[in-house]
Amino acid sequence: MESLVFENIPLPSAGAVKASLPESMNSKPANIGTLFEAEESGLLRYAIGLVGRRMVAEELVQETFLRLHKIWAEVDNPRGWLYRSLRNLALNHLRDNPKEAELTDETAQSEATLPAEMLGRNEAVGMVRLLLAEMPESDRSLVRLKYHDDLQYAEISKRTGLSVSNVGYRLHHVLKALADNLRHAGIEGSQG
Amino acid sequence: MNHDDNKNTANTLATELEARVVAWISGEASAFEAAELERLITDKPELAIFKRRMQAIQGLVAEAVRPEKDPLRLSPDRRGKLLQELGVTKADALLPQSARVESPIISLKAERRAQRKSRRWILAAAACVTLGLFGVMLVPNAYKGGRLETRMDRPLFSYKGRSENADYALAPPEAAKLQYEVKRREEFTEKKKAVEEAIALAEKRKQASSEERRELEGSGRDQRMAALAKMGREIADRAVQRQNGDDDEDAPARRGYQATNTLAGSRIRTEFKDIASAITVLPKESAGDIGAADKQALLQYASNTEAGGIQGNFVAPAAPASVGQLEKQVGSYGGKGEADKALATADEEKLVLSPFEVSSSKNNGYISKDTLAAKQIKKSGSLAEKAKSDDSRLENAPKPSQPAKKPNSLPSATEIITATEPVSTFSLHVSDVSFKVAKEALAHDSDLDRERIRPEEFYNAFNYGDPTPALNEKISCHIEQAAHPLMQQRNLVRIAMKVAAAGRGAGQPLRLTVLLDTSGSMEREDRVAAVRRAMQSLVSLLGPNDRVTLIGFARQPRLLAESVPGDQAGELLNIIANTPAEGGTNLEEALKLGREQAQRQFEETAQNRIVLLTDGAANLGNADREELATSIEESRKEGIAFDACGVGMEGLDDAMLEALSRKGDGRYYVLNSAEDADAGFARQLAGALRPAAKNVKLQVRFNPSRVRSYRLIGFEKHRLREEDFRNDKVDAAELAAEEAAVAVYQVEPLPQGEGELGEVFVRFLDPSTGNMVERSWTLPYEAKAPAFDRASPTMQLAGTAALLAETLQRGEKEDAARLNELMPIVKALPGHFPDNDRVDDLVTMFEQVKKLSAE
Repeated sequence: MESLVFENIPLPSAGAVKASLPESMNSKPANIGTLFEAEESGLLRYAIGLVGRRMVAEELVQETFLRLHKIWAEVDNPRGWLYRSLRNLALNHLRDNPKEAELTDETAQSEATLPAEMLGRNEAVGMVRLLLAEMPESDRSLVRLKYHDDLQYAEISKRTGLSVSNVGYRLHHVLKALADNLRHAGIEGSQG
Repeated sequence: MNHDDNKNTANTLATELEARVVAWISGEASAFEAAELERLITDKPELAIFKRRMQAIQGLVAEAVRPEKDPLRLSPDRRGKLLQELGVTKADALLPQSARVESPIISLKAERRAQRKSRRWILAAAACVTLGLFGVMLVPNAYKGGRLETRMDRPLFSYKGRSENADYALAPPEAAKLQYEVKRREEFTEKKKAVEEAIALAEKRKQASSEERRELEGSGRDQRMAALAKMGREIADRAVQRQNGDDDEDAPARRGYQATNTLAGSRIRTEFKDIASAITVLPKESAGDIGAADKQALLQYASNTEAGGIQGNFVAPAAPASVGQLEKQVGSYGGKGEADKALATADEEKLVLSPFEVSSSKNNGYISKDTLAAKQIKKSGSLAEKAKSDDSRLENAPKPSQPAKKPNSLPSATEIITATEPVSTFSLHVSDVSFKVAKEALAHDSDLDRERIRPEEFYNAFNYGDPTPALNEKISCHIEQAAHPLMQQRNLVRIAMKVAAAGRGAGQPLRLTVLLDTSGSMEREDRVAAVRRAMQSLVSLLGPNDRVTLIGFARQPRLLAESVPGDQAGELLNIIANTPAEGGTNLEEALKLGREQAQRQFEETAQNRIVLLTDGAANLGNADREELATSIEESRKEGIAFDACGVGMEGLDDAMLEALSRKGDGRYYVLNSAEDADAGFARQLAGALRPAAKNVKLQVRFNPSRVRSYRLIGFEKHRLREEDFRNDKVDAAELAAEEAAVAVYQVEPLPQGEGELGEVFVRFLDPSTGNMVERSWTLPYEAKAPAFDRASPTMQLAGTAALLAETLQRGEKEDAARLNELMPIVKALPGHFPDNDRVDDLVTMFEQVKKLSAE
């Protein structure tokens, strides 16, 4: 294992357009610490959505980051990797502990037990993040422009250089693919 | 998720519509557009569904993309630690130790090891000190088992060291027991001091851990304490090591003492899992009594068996096979000289006998010439003799006899444990050649080549009269079972598949290429007659749309007739009659020409087949089975099947023909005489020429909770891997219309288990439709499977045929003796199958075997 020296310096933004973006949208942040700051919450939510229990979710997130840390240099798309890996760990956990009672651990008091719909939504959102992270950059930027920046097609077209109809076509494509992938992952609708 | 997806252009309209909907929900649509889409939605409900889905997805995406307004954080403690981890330079620090407290999912083993390591250092230090002391004290006490001394102290410490794991605590009873053990050792030395020191160390290291774990360790330790009291040091240590999950880190160094004089130290050089058992010798009779067919069964039922491995009193020889060779597996006693010899051959043998595990390292233990144990059992002969041996015989202990035929080449008669491998897959290849060959051999009292016995060809030689399925059903399955007549706790299961009758117009045109052996040996009258009859049958099945090419071969192949239409094929008989038979047999050249011709007249929609008629082995040209088989395989890939018909039994190269026809997806027949080429043969031929099912594979999935072990009787050459079942590129056998195929399994059901025995799957290609067909049936569990003598006649027929085949395969006289028990059942069979020559043949074969075994 190589030894890495991490400096806690956030990546300087590469351009005006990207300046407004959350760090996580870039392909690879300079260090894992930054990534952690950016993704901690999202991953935690996803984990909770998957396993239902805060304590376990935290462990999973922790484990995921530790694993990423080990192979940081080799991972191209750490964000996608994080979500994937977290998902796998969660599924493994669920498989190995099928009968864990929901309310036995002490953390049950520390937070209201999330209702099933919330869990489902968390899982769905996490899944979407995972899929977004694994998308090609062009698609991702379209999504970002549309849903983060709330731009109209025309604006997007101007920024990306694609025709308006092309923008429409691609967005439709992306949404459809996301929907299909969610369905394959067993998540239907928006409620998980 | 890729823009580069090539969307189906046929769907562009739909796609466009969808895109419009998406734009609409994204707020891109003009009022006019919106109105129009609204209208469309009411018309097409699926569009409405699509819209809802998209809206849902949009919501998710929006949420996914937006920054968290209320971000969640890991608990501060955990977070801090993690950040520390991530920011730290050395990768080593990633060892879970620091995060241990909060993450149960992270393995504790590493941590345990780390702690253990530190413990061990301290112990080692302590050991060194005390060793020094004892070295001085022990020198005057040294005795013959010299090694004893130098090890005596170390194991004690290390043993404790093992127990000093941070996670376990020595409960007070342990400490007391430890002291008892220590007192025992005081006979040899005075180590009280050391022991007390160690105990103190142990107590210092007590840490709270889960209650269960302590108890578990405690109970484990109880057993081991008992062991210590009785057995040599080393064994106990090793046992402890195992329990504690240690990975033999010090094992090589901790040999313990190896006495050469005491029985305790030498005879058992094993890891004892169950020390309390006494040790007894198991003679052959008990094997028979228990009905054990292999060593697994043997040791299950016998609670005490002697196991010493090579270094003990045993010499464990090579390949296991069956009851008959059981004594060879279990080993035999012998004097030193023979033991050494056997050692050399069986060096790497690992004999696994439950409940002991014997490792056969060259650990020359005690091999006695003098004890009764050694004398009672001769290495060579059968165990039956051994028990009766007397001293006079022992003086001239004969050399170990090697079995006449190599046991290694015989199929293993071991049962497969369901838990390990629950799936059994094979190609449903049916033939009856092996049965006929064996029948002849027994009738003429000639040598029976055991390797040529194929049990599936024995029990498939009979027509069981299973019901034919309706045409639209394509294939049916009939399952029955009964208790095994000769083994305890085992059932025999007969799985019969039957193909539907051929519908009208099921005939494909044929393109046949017949390779006829015209070598000198075919001159014999009976062979000439047989060939003539066979060809007559063949010709009678041909129609005007069929084409036959005839090639005669001896030293050289000769094209005798090319692509003769079926209705004129009668001429072929004349041609054959006028072709002289002379010369050697060059099979390679014949096959080559055959292939060429078959390719020449190849037709996609036809049945393209090469039929070989020969009497003997190839003695010219390439006779390498594998290579010829490969070329056959090539043909098969091109769509040309290969059938083989052996003429006459003498000199028949059964192995070759079997291999070729197996590779060629075709049939294998044998005609001993003209009579054999009878109506039955014609039917077979007809069926084979127009298979109703191709690539027929059978897969049985056993239920591990109901079946402990199973064994497929036969089909050794047709086994497939599990994944081959649905891999349609993997070829398998063909079945004709109305043809039945039977598979017999021996299963060990668990009465306390749950569920059925398993499931049967069959998969084949239906030539009439070109589609694959797969069906499955349940293999039911019958709690009260009938005793064999009360089973249905078909079950009895299949069972006795299968057992006969197995007995012949093993070639042991003892088996034959047991087979006699089935005699009354066998004799009653013709009553159930009147006018059935084959069944009569079976009875005759049984009688012949009985005669032979009595000699």
